[in-house]
Amino acid sequence: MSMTRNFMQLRLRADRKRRLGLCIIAAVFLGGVLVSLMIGRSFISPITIGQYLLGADVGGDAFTLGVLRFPRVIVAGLAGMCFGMGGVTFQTLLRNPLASPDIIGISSGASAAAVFCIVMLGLSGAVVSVVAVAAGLGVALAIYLLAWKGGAAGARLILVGIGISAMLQSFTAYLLTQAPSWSLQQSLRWMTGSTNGAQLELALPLVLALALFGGALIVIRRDLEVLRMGDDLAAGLGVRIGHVQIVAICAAVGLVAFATAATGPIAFVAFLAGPIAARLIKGGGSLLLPAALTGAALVVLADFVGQVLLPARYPVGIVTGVLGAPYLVLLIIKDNRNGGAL
Amino acid sequence: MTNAAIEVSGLVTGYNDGTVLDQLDLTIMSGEVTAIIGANACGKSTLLRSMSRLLKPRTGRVQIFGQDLHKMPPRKLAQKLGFLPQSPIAPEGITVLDLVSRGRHPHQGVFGRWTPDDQAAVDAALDMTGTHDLAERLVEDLSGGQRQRVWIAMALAQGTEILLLDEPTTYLDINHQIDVLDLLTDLNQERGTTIVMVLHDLNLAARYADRLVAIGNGQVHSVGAPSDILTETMLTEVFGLNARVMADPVGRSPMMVPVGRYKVTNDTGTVRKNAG
Amino acid sequence: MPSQMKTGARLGRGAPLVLLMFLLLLAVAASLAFGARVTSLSELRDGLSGDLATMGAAAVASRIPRTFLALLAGAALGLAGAVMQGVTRNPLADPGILGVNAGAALAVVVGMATIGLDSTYMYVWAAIIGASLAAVGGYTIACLGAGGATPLKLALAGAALTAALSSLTTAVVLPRGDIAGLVQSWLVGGVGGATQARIMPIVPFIAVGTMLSLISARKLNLLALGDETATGLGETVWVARIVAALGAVILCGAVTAACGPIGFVGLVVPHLSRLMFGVDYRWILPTSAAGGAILLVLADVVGRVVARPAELDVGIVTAFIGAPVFIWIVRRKRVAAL
Repeated sequence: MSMTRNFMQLRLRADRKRRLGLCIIAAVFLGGVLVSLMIGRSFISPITIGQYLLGADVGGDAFTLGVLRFPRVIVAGLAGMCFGMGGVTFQTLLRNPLASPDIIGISSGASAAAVFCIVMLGLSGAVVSVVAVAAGLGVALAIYLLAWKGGAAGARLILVGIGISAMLQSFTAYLLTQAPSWSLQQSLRWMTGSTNGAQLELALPLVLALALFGGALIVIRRDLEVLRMGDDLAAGLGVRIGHVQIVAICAAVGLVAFATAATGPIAFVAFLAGPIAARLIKGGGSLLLPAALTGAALVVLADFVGQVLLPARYPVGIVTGVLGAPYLVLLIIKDNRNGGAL
Repeated sequence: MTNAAIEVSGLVTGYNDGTVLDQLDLTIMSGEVTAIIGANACGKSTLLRSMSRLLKPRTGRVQIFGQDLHKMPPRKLAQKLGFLPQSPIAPEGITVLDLVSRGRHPHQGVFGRWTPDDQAAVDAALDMTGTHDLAERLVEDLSGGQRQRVWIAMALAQGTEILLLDEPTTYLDINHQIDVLDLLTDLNQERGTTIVMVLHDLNLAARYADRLVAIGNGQVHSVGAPSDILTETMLTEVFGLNARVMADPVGRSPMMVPVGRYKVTNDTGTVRKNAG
Repeated sequence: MPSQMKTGARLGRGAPLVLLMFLLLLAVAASLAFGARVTSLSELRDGLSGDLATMGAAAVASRIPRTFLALLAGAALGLAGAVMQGVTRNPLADPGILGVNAGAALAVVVGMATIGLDSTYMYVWAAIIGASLAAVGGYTIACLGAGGATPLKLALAGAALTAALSSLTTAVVLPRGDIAGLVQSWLVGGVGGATQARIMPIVPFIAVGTMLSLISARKLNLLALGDETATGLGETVWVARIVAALGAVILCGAVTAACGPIGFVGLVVPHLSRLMFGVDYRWILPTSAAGGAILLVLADVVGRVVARPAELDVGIVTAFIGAPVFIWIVRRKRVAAL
């Protein structure tokens, strides 16, 4: 009897910790949103922001908030959610923290397609997004097929992805050298990701992607958790592995590709969000929601840092890219010390 | 009259912060087959690695034929002492002949000219291990038993007076285990090679070794002829195992039979649970 | 008789060797003859003998330096790749995959931005330092933990390192409009527009790197048997590793300084060389150098021909040749070995 009660208490405590962790991440995200809205070339007080939201007339600040800051922060947050959720899904499926879509070529595929549409075909708008998503799925499928050899082992999948990614990146680099010189900002966006000039219409596809693909992932989250322990064990516990994998991969690719079409492949967000969330939320449980929030917080804060805190104005992808390097080393060292299978 | 091939004195060593061997003394006699036994993680392999050049002692020293191991030039040492790790790596696409030939490395000069001596040593190694017919085959295509013979052939081609082997019979079927141990005994008797190996199987160790070294608590628990070492007391002290030791029906060595908790018969022959 | 089977003088090495030499000549000829303008045989002869009367002959003469640079850089990259694969005992080791090129690039760009480097002479040093740091860093990251540097860990660490280093490179260049042009022309430099001033500074480095690599051939043969066996055979493993790796890093740094980062040559060539000449590094190293030269010269020709009249950067061509080979290697391996 007392045994049971102890376990109950442990579980309650774990739940409380989990909620606390989630609250911390959410608070950081909201804090990031608030400072991004307040601070820029001009300072806008929280009160003014509140008045603007309630529909009051706030004069010139209405333009700054409505046209510049709100769209930017909304797009940044939504893209971060997509990257975070898509990234952690890949990491869970392939059981490797380094196997995120930005490293294995999904983002490079979407990005190469977007650049091709813009630079070579002169397209813009929704068409670019659609092509980027299609390319992301195509690359994922190609990686899967190329890695298939009587079963697609995780290690082979990742390595094939790295090869494809290298090829696509050099293709993107080539396309960008063909672009007229005015598009340096453009090219940075497609090489490393940026929210410069984000407009509110970019947000709609992201919301749809989160609802559709994110929703699907939430539905299968328990199966994903079990898959973490290995295919054989998961099969033994009654998970239909093939189904879960296909749904999860499609959803994750969709999330990443939509986000890439909106902001470019913001470096390392998909890679960082999951492990950071895992560290903040100890004791298991699904990481989908925490990783989404972490991704959003990362992009919003990094964008703020790149725009306001640094001597020059950097696109968000540069900031996250540089941020990723030391964290990567830390992650590998820690993971290895814990005997993690890298 | 045999004399010392390897002398270990006051050896303290370990990995990172941990000490595995603490003030260990041991003498390996020349021309004998010595088997090192002990429980998992007791330092058997560490001892073997210290006797080759793989692990530096923190204090104490290891001497090979009276010379300090770590003061000898690596190649000179490699002409006297060979080491075969537990799971050696064969590069993909290498032939048996190529692999065995690489054993001649320590005998070759700066330009690596292949001499008739080298050729003779490789031929003899292939002959002795019965791998002549495999010479042109790829190592990765061989069976586990054949592969182990090939590795031993490489160590033979090295032509050393001492050969250290880390668990040469792991991953092999019992018939191939016997095969490998017979081969090593051939080597010992025909060439007088001193053989030191770590072995897991106590009965095989007792059968094939002239001398057993039991390691426990980072030190030598006991050294001597198998009949003196493989005792019920030693098994309790070193392995924490309750076992009976009796005469080996086909050899003169002792043989041990473990007593577990289950399926042990009492004297009347009925099965009973033997707890406690 | 076993004596006839020695010494690794495997039958059938002669034919591939002749083929290799033939391909090398063919590649050089193609590089001189094809470009935005296709030249005739007589123009080719005139151009080579210094008689620049016709347009075609002048075009041929102008292709001599770039052909020479492609030969030099390709040989260096092929050799460096073979050495890296031997040192790390890892089939996926390559200066591009490991992030070594990205490290060299970052170091050169930092040098341009901070202390005003502006010639190949100065790039070489920066590139070699950057390449060494990246090589040591990437390999250390991959080595950490149980199991050592598996091909998977090495490739992942390299990919992540490359991403981080390129971000840093962009971050350095972005606020510096003054050096953007310089960086741009160097990064996508390839072997086009090669001049003596770009080639000569790297020649001594390539010579030293080649020497260090070639004297390591027999040591790499032993390293291939595993560190423990190599030690047992009388090799001091870490010294052998450092000497060989230093040679490879110098080669990569020198090439990157003159041509910008070029990936995949070092990955592809040693595997082909291994297929043709077996596992002995005394054969793999020199034949990889020859193979690398052929590959890069041909890649340069392809880059000139497919996008006529513009040119495709040679690094893009090698990526498109190399990535499929990379995937082929990955598919061929058993999963356990990954």
